Amino acid sequence: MMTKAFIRRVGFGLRPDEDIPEDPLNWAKSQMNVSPKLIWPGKLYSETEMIDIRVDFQLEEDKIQETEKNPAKAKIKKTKLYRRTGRKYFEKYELAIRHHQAVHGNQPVFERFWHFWGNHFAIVDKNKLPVFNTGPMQREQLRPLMTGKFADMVYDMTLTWPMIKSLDNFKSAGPNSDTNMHRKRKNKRVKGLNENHGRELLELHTISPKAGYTQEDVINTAYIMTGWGFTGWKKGHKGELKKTGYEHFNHEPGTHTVLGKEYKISGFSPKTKGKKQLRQLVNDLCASQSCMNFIAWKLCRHFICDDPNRDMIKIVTDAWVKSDGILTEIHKAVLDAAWKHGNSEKKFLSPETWLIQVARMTGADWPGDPKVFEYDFVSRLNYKQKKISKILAELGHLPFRAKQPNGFPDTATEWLSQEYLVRRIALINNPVQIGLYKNSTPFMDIAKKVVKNNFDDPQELLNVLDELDLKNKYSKFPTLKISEPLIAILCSRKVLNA
Amino acid sequence: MNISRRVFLSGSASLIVTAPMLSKGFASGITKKNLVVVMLRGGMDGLTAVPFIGNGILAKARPDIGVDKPIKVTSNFALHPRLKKFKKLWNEDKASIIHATSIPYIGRSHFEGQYLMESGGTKPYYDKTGWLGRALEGAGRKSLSISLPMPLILRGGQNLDNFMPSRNSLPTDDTLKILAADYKNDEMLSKVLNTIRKRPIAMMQSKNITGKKIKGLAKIASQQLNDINGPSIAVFDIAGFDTHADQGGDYGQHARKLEQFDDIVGTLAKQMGPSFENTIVVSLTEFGRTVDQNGGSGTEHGYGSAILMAGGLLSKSKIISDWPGLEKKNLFEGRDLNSSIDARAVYASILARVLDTDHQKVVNNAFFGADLPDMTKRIFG
Repeated sequence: MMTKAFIRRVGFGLRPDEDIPEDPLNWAKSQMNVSPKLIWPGKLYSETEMIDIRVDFQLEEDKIQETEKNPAKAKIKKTKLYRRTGRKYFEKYELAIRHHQAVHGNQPVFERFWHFWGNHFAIVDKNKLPVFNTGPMQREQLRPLMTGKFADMVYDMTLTWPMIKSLDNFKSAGPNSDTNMHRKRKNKRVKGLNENHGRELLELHTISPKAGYTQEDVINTAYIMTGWGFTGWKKGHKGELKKTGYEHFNHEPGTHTVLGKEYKISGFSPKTKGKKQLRQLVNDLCASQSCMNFIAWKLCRHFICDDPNRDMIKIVTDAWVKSDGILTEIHKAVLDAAWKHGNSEKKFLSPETWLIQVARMTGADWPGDPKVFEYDFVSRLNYKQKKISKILAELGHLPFRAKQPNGFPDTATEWLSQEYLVRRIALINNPVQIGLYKNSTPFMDIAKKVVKNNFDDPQELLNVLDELDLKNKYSKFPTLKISEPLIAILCSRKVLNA
Repeated sequence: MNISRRVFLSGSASLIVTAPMLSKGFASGITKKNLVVVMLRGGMDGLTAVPFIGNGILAKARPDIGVDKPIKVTSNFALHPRLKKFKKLWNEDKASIIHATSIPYIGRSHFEGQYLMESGGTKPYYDKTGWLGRALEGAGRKSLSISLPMPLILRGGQNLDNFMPSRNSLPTDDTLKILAADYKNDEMLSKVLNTIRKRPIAMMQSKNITGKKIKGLAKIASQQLNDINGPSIAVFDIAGFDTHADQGGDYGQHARKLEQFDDIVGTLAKQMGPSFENTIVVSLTEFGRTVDQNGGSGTEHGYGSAILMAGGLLSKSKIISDWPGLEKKNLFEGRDLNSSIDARAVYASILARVLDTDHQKVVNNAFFGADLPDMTKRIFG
């Protein structure tokens, strides 16, 4: 593939001050070896810290609801609580960390893969998960997993706090589990099975419906998953404990069969004999041809084109087999496939990826000075703190707020509509919002630099800018169209399609 | 397209409106019939919306999430208490229910099911167009949507447009011309941009609409549908019916979602005034839910559900059903309410009525000529 096009396809394009890598394929592949540290200079809240804050928020909010009957007073108390616990703050803060890393970091290709996997293991927008939990989980758990085995990633992601919460597995219990046998003896109502997480583990995270599993397979997967939920004795909120783990008394005993394979109990300790079933199932799912094909297809669709062909997918599945599912090698193979096949294909960028490209290529002050995002947990949030989520919402792509567990879509037909395009053009029409200020470098110069730096064949776009230059010279009101050169380039088909 | 657009950026819902290509026909005295499709994503529980009260099976199967105060409408069926505005229309003979119905999909996957409920086909991720888009194309209509994405259900119609109020403003057409020149070799982009450039000024005027989220969008829909030269088809999109946990009974998650549907119906009935007489609102979901409650006081993915219909095009309120029963032996795979009416037949019959065309033509255009009975008499008779 052409050098600069490749850098836009698998990364976010080049910053104005960035050198063009001599060997772009190697430049991209070398980023896959280690999981780079976050360059964010501010505080990184840990996942457990955020769960504490979440619990604090929820208990306190319940208390206000129960005790304060005067609506005006309740509102004041709630506002105070919201500020003290960062109810409106943390999502924006996490978005800033994510965008700061993508725009100013030196491993943009790695970041692209991070965003991909975050969406693959999408946590739905419910129960305030995007506010307190999704961002920290992606930072702390997902990132380090990206250089290991795919099966490990699936296993660990399955058991993250937000995943267990959002797909309800903490509510699931086997019909013959100790819990339910006890309840039956006491004539209490039994705790039923929850199929939600089991189904999505098969459908979305590993093998996809193409594998041809049945409802029986879904139920048996759910049996294997029983017991995995919240654990420990530290009180949380409404059944949410602070940690995830295995509680044997909820586990459905015995052998369970998924896709023809039996998962037996192992060992004798009642506390652990069903525990390994999930690990074995995940290993088998991840080693299956259906899983390799599905994940390879999805990666190629993200990094090459909407409808990847067999050759592209085979490059990835070959690497998968050869490395026994090591993500570093799988990612490198995706880059190989993109390098080999990328020239003849185009990929319409999602709104967030496009926004980050725009910021990186123009050298915009985006998402803003990290100091701006420091917060005293007392005041109202200011515009600079809020704009990142406002803009992403306007573009239709708040990355922690997928409506359904299949995450955000990844094709041009889903992302290209009149209203989506209007919003991109309108955003660039008012470029101060993304940190491009009138009194710094002239927009025409910025636009020219973007083109020269990021296009292997820049002439066509430079001609457009030259024409505008000429037009401006003879215009009575040249300043009125100040954003025009930026729109002409950043909303051009060559930038919308990497 | 200024500040006021902001109000309608609700994350939870979107609205799609379709405009007739030739407004002349309507202007010269022919009644303009409207169709509003409300997509309920996640699997709407027909047994919560319209509980079966003919025997005690349902109450026994759902000790924690039963509907305690159902509004009885026949000896066997009741409405959920949060469907208040719908009930009011029921009393006026302007609301009906199809019960034990589904699209012919039994795989229980949301994403396959949602694809099929929109594409109208039988193979997931296969057809690239939607049944409504194809039906409108066959009927010679132009489409306009008010939402961020262009939903699959409408794809396939020509000259698709969509719209959603927002806060930023576009540059002048002079600037858009630069992009038009750049897009000329990209079919998709140039199609989209050309529609934007041809937008009527009326689309920019949404300043007087108050109210937030679903009601605000329903008001926009009402205004557009009321315009004799405006759209005649609107689509809403509500997610959140997938209640595996804490589904609730009279209150709770499923009830809140049903209330959104009720708000749409209520707002349309109120705002549209006389033109609601020529309108039908209809719900659409990917599947129903299990009869039994599960471990988390929720329900699992099932099969048969209900279709809720409202509007003056109906002549009599009734429950339309070939009720399969809730006894274990009558359930689909021993767990789900069965489907005895193909939902596609319902939509085809409604489309035929709204588009003033014959049932078979709609079936051919929208549902690939599938073998679907004409339900016009059962629904509208």
